[in-house]
Amino acid sequence: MIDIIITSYKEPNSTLRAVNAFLKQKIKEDFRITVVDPFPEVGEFLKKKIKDTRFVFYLDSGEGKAYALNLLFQEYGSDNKNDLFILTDGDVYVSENSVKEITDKFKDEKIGCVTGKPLSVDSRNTKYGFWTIVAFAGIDKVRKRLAKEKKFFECSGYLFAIRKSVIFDFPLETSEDSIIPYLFWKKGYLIDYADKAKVYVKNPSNWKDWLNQKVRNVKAHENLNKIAPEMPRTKSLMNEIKEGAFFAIRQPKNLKEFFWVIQLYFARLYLYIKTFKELKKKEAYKDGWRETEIESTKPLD
Amino acid sequence: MKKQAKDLKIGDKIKVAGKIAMIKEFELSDIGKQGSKKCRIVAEMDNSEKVVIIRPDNYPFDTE
Repeated sequence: MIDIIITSYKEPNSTLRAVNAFLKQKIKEDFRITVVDPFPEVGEFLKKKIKDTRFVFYLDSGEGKAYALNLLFQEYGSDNKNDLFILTDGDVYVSENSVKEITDKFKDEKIGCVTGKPLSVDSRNTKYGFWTIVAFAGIDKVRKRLAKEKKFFECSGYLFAIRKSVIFDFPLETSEDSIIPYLFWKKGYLIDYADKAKVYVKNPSNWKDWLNQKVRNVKAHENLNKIAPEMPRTKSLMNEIKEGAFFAIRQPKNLKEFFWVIQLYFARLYLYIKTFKELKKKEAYKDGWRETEIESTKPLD
Repeated sequence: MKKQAKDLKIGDKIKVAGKIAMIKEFELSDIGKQGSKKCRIVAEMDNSEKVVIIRPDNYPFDTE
């Protein structure tokens, strides 16, 4: 049994697309798609549009994504190690082969967690689109290497999957795509990368949204220092410098893109300085359905 | 038998992820951001693994 959990926040049209991207796949295993959203009107909209009995709407109490996932891990959990959770978001959509690519990876019993490959739907002709394309290309390179070396790496919340019977809860105060893989790793499981399971992501297209989203991400990751200080970090300032700086400067294809990369260095540095300053002022990461809306990442709503 | 979260006690057995787990710790919080009280339950499964469960106080649990 595969439980596909789509966490969304008042984005009915894009969530509908996210659900349909799974329904049109040829999936051999039994599966169920659960959309978790705190807005009942999203449920009404989706129930009108989706007549498939494998679709379920779960009205979230509004306590945040991590809370909702904990609840569903406990409600939908099972004893069967071949049962899976596939976790994704309502504002992204997956490629037609994604479930097969992910389930194939779990044929290896040592694999506990599998992450998909995020791809940007933004244009390379815009600065923010180009920044995302560079970032995703860097992530792809690092994950391929770490998976090959059987080392720990964090997953993408946009699309990742786990075995059902291994963990039943995780801390709320950090990002699930970091702590969940680590909990599996601690139990002796490996993390794998399904680079053919693609997930298409709309990214911020202005400075304010870009900065808000990144600050929130970095804060969530910095919380890991308190929650799991022994966890090997793949997303950190030092790793960005070590793994990303030289990689990024080799990506531009023209002078315009070269300037954008230089700006990206300063932007990343600024966001870390801003985040660390806020953390010093005790403005820590709080789980919730996005306290600050990132409007430009909404693809259809 | 179903019981609301607020009516559970230490020692009660509840169903979590299809497994039976015994309640080891139970706390009832103040009213949270969604206007309801929350129960924080630590339950132990057969394999001694502990699970943290947070639910609204009126959440229906399957009990044994």
